[in-house]
Amino acid sequence: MFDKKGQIAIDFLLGISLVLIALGFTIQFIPGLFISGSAGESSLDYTAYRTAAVLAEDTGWWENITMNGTDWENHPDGMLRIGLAADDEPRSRLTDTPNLISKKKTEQFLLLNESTIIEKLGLYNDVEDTHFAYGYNISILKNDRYLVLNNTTVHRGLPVPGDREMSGITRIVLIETGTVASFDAKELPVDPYSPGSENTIINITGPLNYELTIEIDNLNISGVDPSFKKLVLDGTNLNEGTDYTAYKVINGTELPLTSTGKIDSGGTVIFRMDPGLFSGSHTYQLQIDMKDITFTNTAPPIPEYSEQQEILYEPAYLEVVVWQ
Amino acid sequence: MNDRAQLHTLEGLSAAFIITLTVLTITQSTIIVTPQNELAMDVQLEQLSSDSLAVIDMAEHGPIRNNLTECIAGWDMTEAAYPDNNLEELDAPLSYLLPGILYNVDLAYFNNDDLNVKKVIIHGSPSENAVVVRHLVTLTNETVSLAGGGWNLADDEIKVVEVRMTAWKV
Repeated sequence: MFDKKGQIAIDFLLGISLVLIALGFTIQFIPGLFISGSAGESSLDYTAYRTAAVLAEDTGWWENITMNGTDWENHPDGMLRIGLAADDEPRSRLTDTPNLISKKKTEQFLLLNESTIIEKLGLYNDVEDTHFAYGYNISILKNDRYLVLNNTTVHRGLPVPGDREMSGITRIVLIETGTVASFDAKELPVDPYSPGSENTIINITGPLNYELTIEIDNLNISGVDPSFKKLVLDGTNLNEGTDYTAYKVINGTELPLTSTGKIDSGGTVIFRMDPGLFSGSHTYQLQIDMKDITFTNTAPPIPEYSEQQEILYEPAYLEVVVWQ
Repeated sequence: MNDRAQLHTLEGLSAAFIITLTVLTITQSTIIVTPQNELAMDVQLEQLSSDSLAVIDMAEHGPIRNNLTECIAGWDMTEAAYPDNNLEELDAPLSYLLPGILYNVDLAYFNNDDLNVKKVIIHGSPSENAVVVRHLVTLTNETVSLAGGGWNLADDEIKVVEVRMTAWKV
């Protein structure tokens, strides 16, 4: 009599082989699926990723015995978490606007001492209960240069060494860099102090210590060569490039504008003013001289910058690099 | 012969199918994976792409003139044909924010219970290591008429549009 016990049925063999082939295929097909990332160099990747995510998306948190909130920049002593994301409501515990970086939090972040940053951002490796701090470099870059807020460059940590393994991640963020005021050219008055309807005037009340941006749209073009001639502040001609830079907007893109460059019809012109110009506490008069562009309103009233101003957020890159 | 408790060919096939499906579901559902050595480059690309859409969606002034909702609302409903693209308002800030990265943008939305996927920005065919990021915007008749777009929405209608960006490094 043939005994069938202890034998594998051929069907079973076929079935289990198919399962194993599928499993093997899946493991092969998706790289890194079953690789443990907890040991060795790859922990640097985690640290860089985590640090950038915390800085860009978290608001931070502080608390003492009676109070708490996300506005840790006002209470650095009770700070528990560092985060740079802006938050309108300090008690909300989270933000609606990740990637929107608060200027105040960034300024406070630059003042924190070294050990606090390493401790709160977890920039260390824990080997047998001893902390070994990572080298790190956290910076915010705009137009390939370190961003400057209130005369301080936004940069913490050491220069990146070229001779060892490191890990870095870049996040795109919006950062508060100053204020912007938009004016409709149809509502701007003809400058009452100088002849000609091609000049207009705006009042700016100091002291201001941040970059000013003046946007003028709906320009009324009246000649063949519409362009902008110069800016005059309280009777003094301003220097293009150092005191201010001018831009025009074409198809949603800002392009540099010089005093000879042509302005397109219906276009918007933008002036970025150096904050150092408005340090005194009185009202400055900024005269804007155009060519072949006319203004129709009569002064008074002369429009005031601060009545139109909003916070200006500009895109920048938050870079975090860590190394052993 | 006793057939009980045996795994047969068809069951093996279905088990294999279920395993593959499960693993694929898990890996695809994570929006951004925590970086692992091989994936670090992909994560960086995915993070930048997803950030760029998020940042454009919050923009009000400065170098980005229109936010994402306004860009999409201003679309004239015609598809792009390479090499022209059909959403210059969105293309300009994206190329500003993502130097050295190429991307295609599709819009996906429901129209009369049919899913429409329309190409609006085409910069070429994606390379092997391309990533896809998504961002949802909500359009109303008000946003559309302000931006001058071609979506014919009723006054009380809300249209959710998925902005789907495929990005790759060159």
